[in-house]
Amino acid sequence: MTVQHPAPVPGDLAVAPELPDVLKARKPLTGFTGFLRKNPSIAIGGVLLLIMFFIALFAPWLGTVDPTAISTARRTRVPSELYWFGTDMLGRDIYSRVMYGARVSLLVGFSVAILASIAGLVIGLFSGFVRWSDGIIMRVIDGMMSIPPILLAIALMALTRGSVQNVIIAITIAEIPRVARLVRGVVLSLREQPYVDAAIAAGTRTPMIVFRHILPNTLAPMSVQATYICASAMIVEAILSFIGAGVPPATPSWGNIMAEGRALWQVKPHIILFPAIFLSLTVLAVNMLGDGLRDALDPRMAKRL
Amino acid sequence: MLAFIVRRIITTIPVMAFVALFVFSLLYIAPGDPAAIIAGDQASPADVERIRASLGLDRPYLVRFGEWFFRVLQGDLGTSIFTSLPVTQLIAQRIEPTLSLMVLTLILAVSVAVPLGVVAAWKAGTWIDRAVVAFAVFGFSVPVFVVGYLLAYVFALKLDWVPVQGYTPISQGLWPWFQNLILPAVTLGLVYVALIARITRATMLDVLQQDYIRTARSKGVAQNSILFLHALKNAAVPIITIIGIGVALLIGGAVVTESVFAIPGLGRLTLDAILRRDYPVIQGVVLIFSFVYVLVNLAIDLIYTLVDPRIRY
Amino acid sequence: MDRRSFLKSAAGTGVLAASGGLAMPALSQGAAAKTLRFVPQANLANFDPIWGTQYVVRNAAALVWDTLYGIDSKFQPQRQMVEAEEVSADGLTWTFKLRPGLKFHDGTPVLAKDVVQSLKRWQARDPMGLMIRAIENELTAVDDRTWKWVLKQPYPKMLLALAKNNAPCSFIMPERIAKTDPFTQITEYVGSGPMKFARGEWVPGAKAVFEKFADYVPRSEPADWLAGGKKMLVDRIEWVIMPDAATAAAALQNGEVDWWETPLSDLVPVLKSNANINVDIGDPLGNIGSFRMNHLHPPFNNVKVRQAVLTAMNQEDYMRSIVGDDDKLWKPLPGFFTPGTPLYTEEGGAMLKMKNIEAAKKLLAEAGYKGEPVICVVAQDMSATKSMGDVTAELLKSIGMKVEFVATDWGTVGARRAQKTPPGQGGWSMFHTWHAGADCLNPSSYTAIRANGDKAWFGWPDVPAVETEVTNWFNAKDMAEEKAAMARLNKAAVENVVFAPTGFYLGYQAWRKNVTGVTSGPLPFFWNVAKA
Repeated sequence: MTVQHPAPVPGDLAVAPELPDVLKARKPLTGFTGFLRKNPSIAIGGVLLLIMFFIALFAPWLGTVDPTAISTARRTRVPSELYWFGTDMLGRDIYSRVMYGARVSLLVGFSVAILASIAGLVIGLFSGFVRWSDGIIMRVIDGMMSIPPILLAIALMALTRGSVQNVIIAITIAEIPRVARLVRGVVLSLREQPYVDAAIAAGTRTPMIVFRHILPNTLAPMSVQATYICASAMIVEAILSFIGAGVPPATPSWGNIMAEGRALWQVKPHIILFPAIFLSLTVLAVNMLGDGLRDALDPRMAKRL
Repeated sequence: MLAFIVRRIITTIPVMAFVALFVFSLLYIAPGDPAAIIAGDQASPADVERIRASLGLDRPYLVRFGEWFFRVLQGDLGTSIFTSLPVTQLIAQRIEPTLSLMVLTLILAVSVAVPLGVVAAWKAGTWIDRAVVAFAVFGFSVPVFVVGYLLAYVFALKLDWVPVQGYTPISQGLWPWFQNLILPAVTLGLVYVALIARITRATMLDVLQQDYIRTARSKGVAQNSILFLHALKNAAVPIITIIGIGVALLIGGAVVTESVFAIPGLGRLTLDAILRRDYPVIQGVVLIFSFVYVLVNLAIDLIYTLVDPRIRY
Repeated sequence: MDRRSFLKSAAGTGVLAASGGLAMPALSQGAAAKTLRFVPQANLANFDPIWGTQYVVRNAAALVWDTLYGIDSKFQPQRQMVEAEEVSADGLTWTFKLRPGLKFHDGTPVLAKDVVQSLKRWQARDPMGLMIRAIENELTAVDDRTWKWVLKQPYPKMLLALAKNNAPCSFIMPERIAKTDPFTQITEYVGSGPMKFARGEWVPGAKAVFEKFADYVPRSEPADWLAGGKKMLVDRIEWVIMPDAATAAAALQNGEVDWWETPLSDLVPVLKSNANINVDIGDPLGNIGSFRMNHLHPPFNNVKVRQAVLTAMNQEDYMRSIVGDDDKLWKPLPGFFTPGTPLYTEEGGAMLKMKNIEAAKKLLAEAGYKGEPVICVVAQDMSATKSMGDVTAELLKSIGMKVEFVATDWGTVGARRAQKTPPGQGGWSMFHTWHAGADCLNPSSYTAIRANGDKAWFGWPDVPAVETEVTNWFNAKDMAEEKAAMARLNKAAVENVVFAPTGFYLGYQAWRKNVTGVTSGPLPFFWNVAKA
């Protein structure tokens, strides 16, 4: 997250005194804490997410046991002092699985967000600048977008075997078209801006224009979009597990803990409840972060998302 | 206008062709073997080979693709490997439940979400606004099957108001149809409500901040519904856009919802087909979904001209 | 009248009387009384019981197509469509005669030529059928109701072959349908069984409907499994496919379905606590869990490595992972054959009782295991294979083997297990499956126990000692000889680890109390089942 600071003003330059702002009654909030107070959803989302990252990083030291250790003698126990979140159908400790599961969900969410953003950015920029390619790329993207992302991810998972890496790749491929479209839209609208027009007319080379004018302007909508992709990727991971095309059970993820316990929701709701709470909180955190970012960066951007 | 429609339809042809090629290739490289599944546990490798040959699965990729593509152009989606029923028939059997589910979800979602978003924007900054925003974010954050189980438990099993599962064709009465569909529609609709409410709120805020409205509001003139409706009309384009984008979301969500509520729809057909490698069915369904998506987007472009006279084609 | 139907009719009269919603609830109340709604174990995705051999196809087919003989609960073949048979003194010529008055669903009589053509199609796909075909001189119709089967050598298990319930069963179809190539699916579903298939209402993956065949003439003997009089007491049977066990349980509790073939054992306590639901063992012959190791490639081409795995395994872990905490539902299985059946033996099964990790590690060291990865292919869309796969992964890790876990779906397992290439090149080291106990009574239809190398089932075990005993069993003249052969067979199969049996387990079935006549058997029997 980057906060844009005004460029330093040379000392010898005469600066007009700041005009009193008639519209704002309150004292403007400044600095990091001010930023957070002005954007409470970033603060709440950020703290929640930090907690989840903490859990993921320090899972082995949070009173957990081996999350894959099977003990069929203690199946489907309800939460107790011994098994804080109870045990699942194979007698594995759900608390430990949920703690370790944070790793997979966060890894999937953030990897997909980053990979899809980069790929989408490259494709979107290319399509927006290399005119002859635009038609072809957009038809391909239209085609990809017309396949429901979950179906596409399921089909891609059928191609490979269940692993965290393949889940990430499958969801990424399904998400790329959306980012590419967004970036292309921004590029096309920026191209119409007078200053970009002027730069093109002045003979500035394309990479220069991209780096100086286009990229900075794409970053804001992109980073907001990335948070939504991150959130949706975590949900899709759970849905893939639900369908049986997700992360294999040896690697605990919130999705596959829920998927395994789902048949017992009526009798042993705790199996599905705890991972659901953690997943929801994390997705909530990422979404709040995204909303906060959007508001902070540019309230008018909202309609493009 | 007509020229626009024709042009748009023509441009969808390469899109559909790409989808066809993409899906066909994807399945071709997938490792599963329908012949092995059909033959069952007792079959010898030679039996499996014979079944594969009788299904034509042993022929080269391009030949199969060419044949299939040519038949699709004639409106024939082929024959399901497992059921030996025509794919068009399998799809036709399943369209009504999925369409019903999607339409009901859409109606529910729009009729709940748009007012929610509007109210939130109108009362921006108040607790009402915060509650709507919180609800919208929450709606995004819960996996659809968790919602489905919860609703089924409370309203079907405990309160016994509606059936747990299944689908009643609309021809057997509107009420039984509605009873069977209401839980799935609410389940599927939650994400959608969240999405639309949030966009509506954002767009309305945007419009309400336009100078002319701000001026009017600050003068105290415009605290009435006429201006309000005016604002909503101006906000309609992005809202309609998101409804269109949401159709793809609905189709994806239908896969899960149909499994949870045992609804015999297209989503489950696709899922079953993928798991069994029933290639012609997968290809047919994906083509249909893509086609629907393209059509919906075309319809949305046309609706734009209705709600916003500035847009012309 | 339960609460919801009250609600339905109240709403129908009060709220929606004008919209035409009124007629339906009343109608469905009337129709529901004679319709039995059944949740089968799996989706009926195709309906050719010769072409596709899944159990669910066989179960549905048993309603629509009749068989010449039927097995009873004592595993004895009994006449069903056949009125009488005769075998010549040398055992080479069999003459069969059909019962009079048998009709297909299209109204045409069942003739000997239909039987002959059906048997020919079945022979091509059935292990016992293939054995008969190899020794057959001719199979011909004599007249409308009589046909004869002339063999080159005696085949004492002829009636068992025609009566057995193992898929594919020798279902009798009209000649024109039976002429379909056995490797191509039939497209017309006409049989002479007690129920007709309502093809127009078939929604594969969701629903299959069967309607009572008015012209069916049941035998006069009482029904006993596939033998005796198949009297239909309901007019209509709807198979409702439910991919989600939790949903099926809720539907049964709510009375939306009447009978659930395979309830998840962890959900059984809830069903039992419901005053309207009966729960009992489904198939008394149960299932045998298994994982197979690839005998062609390292590490499992070394018998000591296979023995190490068997020595370490604890069948209790596998069984509990499948059936849960209910101890009535499983038994340890120190052998390969179905417990409680006449030929069951535990001879030589000590290795399966050891549960000794240290001994296993020692064996592994002796075998010179060099850390070759075990490619363990596990279908995640089948709950039994999924649970067993998780247990195996832990087991192999505990004895120090390197596991590469391939989580995939059954479709992929089905294709991959046929690959004979080394595990690293698209092949495999291990996969999980299970066998119906009904298939594991003896070697006749137990493909998985065979160890004839290349011709054997996936994993391709090559153990001549096993094959010798299979032949001995087929040629056995009495029960004592059969038992002796089976004991030696079991011992050889354990020692050489043809495959790894993970235990014997049973499953429940559950039905509403207004349904009567549900019996335990290797498949659900719908005859003599009534609904109040």
